[in-house]
Amino acid sequence: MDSAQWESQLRKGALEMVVLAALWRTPLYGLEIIRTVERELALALSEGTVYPILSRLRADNSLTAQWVEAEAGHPRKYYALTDAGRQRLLAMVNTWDEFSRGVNRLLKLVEQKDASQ
Amino acid sequence: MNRQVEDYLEKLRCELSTLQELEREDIVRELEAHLRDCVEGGEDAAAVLLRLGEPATLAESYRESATIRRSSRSFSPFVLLRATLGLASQGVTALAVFAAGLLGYSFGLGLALTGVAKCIWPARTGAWLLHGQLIASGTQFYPPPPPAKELLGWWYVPLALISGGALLALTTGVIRTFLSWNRRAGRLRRGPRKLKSAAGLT
Repeated sequence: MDSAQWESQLRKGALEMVVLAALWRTPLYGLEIIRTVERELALALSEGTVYPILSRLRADNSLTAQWVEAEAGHPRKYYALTDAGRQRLLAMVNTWDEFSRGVNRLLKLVEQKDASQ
Repeated sequence: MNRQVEDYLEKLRCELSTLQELEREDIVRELEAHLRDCVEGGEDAAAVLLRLGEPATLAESYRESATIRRSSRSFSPFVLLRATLGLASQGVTALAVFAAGLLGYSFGLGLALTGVAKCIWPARTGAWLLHGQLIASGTQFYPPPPPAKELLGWWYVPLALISGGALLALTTGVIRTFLSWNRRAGRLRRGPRKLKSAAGLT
């Protein structure tokens, strides 16, 4: 696996959690979700990845979607976290914390070994 | 909306034709609103389309999430087996169900076909007994010679059709039950399990 492919897989794995997290405080529509995540992570997201994820999260009841008419302009589809979505996100955050702590510990070993050589 | 965007959305619509119309139009409408927002914000539509990816690829990503949902309601062996195989990367159970499903379908179909074959090659199809033991059944290229005796005669046809059909129905039922169970339990189950493997790493 080359490094670009690895990076994209890594990102994809975290994206579901990141999208749910972006909706923690307030409902947003697709473009706002993408902008929020891009701003926080300083990372370019492609719409082609985000929208299918939103669709899946809605299908499994983590999100609800609602078309909201804007005063000026066109209607937009707003996503909001459901209670189940919040629970899921909290569980994901726990997993993420434990996992990243473990990975960081391992990576420290790698560094030390490299330094001793 | 410019021409390029319209073409793109039309292609996407075609690629999503297996989804229900309501779901499909909802997706297209959302992307249309997104494109309009981007263009009004000064972005080049072509650049946004590039980030959305080929219509076929995008549709595939949408379908992936819809496949399991839809297929647990399907009766088509092809759809059911494909959805089960899709889950196989997540656990051995799905792989086992896939293998059992494949066996069930082939035996069921095979059995039913021998019922038809009996009408074409009556002497070569049946269930043969020798000294009270079943030594051959189905359609045989060289049916067992006497003293082996064919047991069922024309009864073979309805028996093969009914038991073959029952096996097909049973297989379908098992896979559908598995898929809808997986759909309901999958998400809940995956959370804690990941937690465990992460803990194992530390």
